[in-house]
Amino acid sequence: MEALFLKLLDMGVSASWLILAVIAARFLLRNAPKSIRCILWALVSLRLAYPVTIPSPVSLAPKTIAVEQILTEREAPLPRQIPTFRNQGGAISDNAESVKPESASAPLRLTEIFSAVWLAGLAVMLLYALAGFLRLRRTVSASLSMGGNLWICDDIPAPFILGIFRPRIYLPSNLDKARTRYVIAHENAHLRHYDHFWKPLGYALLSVYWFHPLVWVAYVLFCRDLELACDERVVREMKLSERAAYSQALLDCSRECGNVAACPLAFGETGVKTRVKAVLNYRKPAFGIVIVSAIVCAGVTVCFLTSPIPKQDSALSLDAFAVPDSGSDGSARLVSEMPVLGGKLKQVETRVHYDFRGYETVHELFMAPTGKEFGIESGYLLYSGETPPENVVYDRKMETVTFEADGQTFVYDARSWAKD
Amino acid sequence: MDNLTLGTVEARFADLIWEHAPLSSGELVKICERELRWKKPTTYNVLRKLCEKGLFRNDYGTVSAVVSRSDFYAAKSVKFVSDTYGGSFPAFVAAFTSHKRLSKEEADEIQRMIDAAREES
Repeated sequence: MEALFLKLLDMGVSASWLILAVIAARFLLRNAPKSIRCILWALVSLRLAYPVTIPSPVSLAPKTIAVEQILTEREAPLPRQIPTFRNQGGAISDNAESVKPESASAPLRLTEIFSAVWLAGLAVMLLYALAGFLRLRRTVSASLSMGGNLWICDDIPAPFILGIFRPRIYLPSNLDKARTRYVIAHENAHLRHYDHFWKPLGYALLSVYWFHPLVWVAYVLFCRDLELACDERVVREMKLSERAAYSQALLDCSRECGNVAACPLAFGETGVKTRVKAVLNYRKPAFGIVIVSAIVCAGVTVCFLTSPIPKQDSALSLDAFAVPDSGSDGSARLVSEMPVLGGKLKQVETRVHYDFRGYETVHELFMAPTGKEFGIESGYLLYSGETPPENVVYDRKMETVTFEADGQTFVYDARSWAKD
Repeated sequence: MDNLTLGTVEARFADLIWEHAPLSSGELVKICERELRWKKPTTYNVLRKLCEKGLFRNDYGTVSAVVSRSDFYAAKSVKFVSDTYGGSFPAFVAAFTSHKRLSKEEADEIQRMIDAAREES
């Protein structure tokens, strides 16, 4: 569970830039067809939903680390042989030493708490949606069928669609004929766009990323754009006079809705003024705009849906690391990847399988990231002591790692680490 | 009886009762299931609402009319908006309009925009 949460954190951070880019693109393309915006939000949802990205040299995403965490269970510790490092000015420690595993629950406590809170938040979001859905369904149980998927109900203040797999359009029973026509056109546009899928799907993503403020912004804007895109589809072929009539229907419906007492602020609904303005000012998009929009979409995809190629040049490589050469007897090499999380606050205990002297062994590491603002660089230490090292500082210029352990301060020359 | 209003759905339901009254509530449920495809709790809910409005009564399972159909429609009023629905639409539901209260100024402003467009066209 913690692994999943950490993964989500990482994905969420890398998606932030995409969301900001989409918001900027949305503003730039504000005169373009509104469906472009929906495509952009689809890109955002891809980034949020799928952990795999394609490395590309033109990626503008920040160099966050792909958190590919291998969740290993807390197995019974095997007797291990831990290679040690050369202590600058000190003797080489015995490399046949086997060390009891640290129970090391302390570093993970924070992550566990965060994961639990995240799970609780997710549950709240889903329960809220479920409750709302059930309440709505109960309200419209007393409705009359008008044929097809159209139903009328006395007790609803505004038309809407309910249901994902067999969506029904519910209309208030007091709509006059003129308004009904436009409402049905609008709701049918929603159905044709499959909005009754996308909106709940978006909400599901929002529930997973409830801790991420930008995702909330994205969802609110996404809902608005859905409505605008539907309006656009309806009025595409309409003359100004008909568009005025459509706007009138919008206004009248809102006015009545406003009469409902104790109407809490709806979530993700767009203002009527914005929609009326968009409808009245609608113009068929020029060909140039469509081209520009396509270019912008492609650009956003290439720049933000890809991830940067990880740097290979630092002594502390992020993708793979080498256990320092522990002497002529044997060497250790990395067998599986290291999970890593950037940032200054985390201290993560992980396990790594590596091959030492021909034995497949499991080694516990204690790491403290030493990174800059983005927490990109981390130091890995193999330490054979009883307690985790503290105050780990990696000096890039001098290429030394300084840390305190067992009451002593060590300075380790990182240049001697073998590169993988 | 001036304030007795019926929505379209309620009116249809009331017509069913008037057509068959007096009848047992069980029969009413069956009829509603057949004609309207309503489940039992739904039927009972709407029946309760209409009994509260004083149109019908449900005495130990027998449904009868307090006000006859002709009397009712003689003093007919049209119900405009329901005030029984509380709460907003869940965020994942595609609704036609915003649930935000539209202030009078905003509503007038939008009306002006629409009227201007009408003049233009």
